[in-house]
Amino acid sequence: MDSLVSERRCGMGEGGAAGEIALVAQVAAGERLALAALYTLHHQAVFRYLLQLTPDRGLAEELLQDTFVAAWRGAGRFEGRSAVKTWLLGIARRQAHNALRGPSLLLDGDAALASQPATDPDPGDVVLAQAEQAQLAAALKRLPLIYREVLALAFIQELSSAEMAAVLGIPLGTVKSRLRNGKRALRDRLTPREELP
Amino acid sequence: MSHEAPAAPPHVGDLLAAYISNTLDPVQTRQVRRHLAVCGACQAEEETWRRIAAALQTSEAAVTAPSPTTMLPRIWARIDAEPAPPIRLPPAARLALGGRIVLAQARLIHRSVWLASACAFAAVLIYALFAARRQELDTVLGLALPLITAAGAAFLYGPEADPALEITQATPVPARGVLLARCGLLVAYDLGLALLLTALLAGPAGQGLDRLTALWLGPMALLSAISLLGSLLAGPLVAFGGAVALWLTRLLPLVSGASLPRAPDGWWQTNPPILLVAAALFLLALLYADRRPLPA
Repeated sequence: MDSLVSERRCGMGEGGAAGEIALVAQVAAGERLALAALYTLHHQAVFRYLLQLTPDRGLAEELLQDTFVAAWRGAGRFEGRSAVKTWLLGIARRQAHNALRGPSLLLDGDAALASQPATDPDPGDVVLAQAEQAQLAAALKRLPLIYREVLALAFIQELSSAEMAAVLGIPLGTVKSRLRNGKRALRDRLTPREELP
Repeated sequence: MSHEAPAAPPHVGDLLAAYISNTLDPVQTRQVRRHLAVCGACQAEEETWRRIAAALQTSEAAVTAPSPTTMLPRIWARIDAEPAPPIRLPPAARLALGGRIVLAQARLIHRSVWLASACAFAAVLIYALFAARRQELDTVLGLALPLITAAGAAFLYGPEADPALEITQATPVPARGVLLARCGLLVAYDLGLALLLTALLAGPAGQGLDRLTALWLGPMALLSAISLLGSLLAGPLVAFGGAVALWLTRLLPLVSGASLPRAPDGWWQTNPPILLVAAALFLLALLYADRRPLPA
């Protein structure tokens, strides 16, 4: 089973991870300074994630607030089995889901998509390899939320697959297939319409 | 390791995203590297993922979250403004919490309550063993034991008796819970001592245990409930004084033959109606405990 605490995180060793877990315990005990420290450590990561879920910056700021208020209240239930950042991202996701109330965050349409054998390279990737950065960026913004979210967690937050599974509340295999399908969806958006089969 | 030509390692497509973000464990990382060295198709896929990652990261570079100085005051304001929602515990956790409350209350009940009860019971025991005549035993048990428990109940809860009341009131445990815990403790303690006493005084084969117990059980329940309620309504001294006065009206006529106005003896029996009345008074006390105005 993948360990959920990666040693390379932020240049902190095991001591850093343990220190953060101790911070959460202090939050649970009611220490405001500890929550302030957690905010300082993770506000960028959480905010960037929230911006993937809603482009509205004002709403993202409110959700950021909600996330840390919820972290204050729920610190007593944190058991230290996952990294603190993963825990915070999970809270942020729930807050966003409550606020946005759309089906898109929980949509699981992966089963409907045809699945290739898991590991073989996708010949369609040549389209992606040749696209310009600007085109790629634009296409990424237009991806459905379900793919944008997992790609952001993988490459912006740089979570491991196991951590992503924890934040999203899905099995590990689903994380991998969602990444795969996200790449395919991206490629579809870049392919000129006439060439699609 | 085999010396035949190794089978082509399986494609690593599913691991590439993690490989690029450096979240694979060392074994898997080596595995991916070895494969990439020999598989052009997977190399191309790796390149694709890297471009996706780069596109994502450049678009994120300009994002800055609200600084701590901006956001933290808003967070504190929110936390202060909204009372925490009640936490619903699962039954097992609730029992465990109840157990901890009882233990904590055991420490908070004033030491004198335990000590006084024990001394009083001991005094009764000594008197009964050495000084009382057989027919006086009934009277002693029936009168002394309820009074001892009622005294404990009077001093169980309340600002005059409770050196730790501020701590009690500062916890999330409601007054009702505290009172319930303490009464449970006191009842268990006094009842235990009373039964022990009765067993010691009953015949060597335990005959008459039932009869002796019946002499004090009902009166103990009723008088203690009255005392507890009185303590909540008017303070422990008033409650205790009232209990003593009530009891004297029973005691004096027996001793001096004088006739005093008093509650009929039927009130002080052990039977279901009396026990029900005691229970009802206790519930009243519980209800009142929460509504009691706090001392200034």
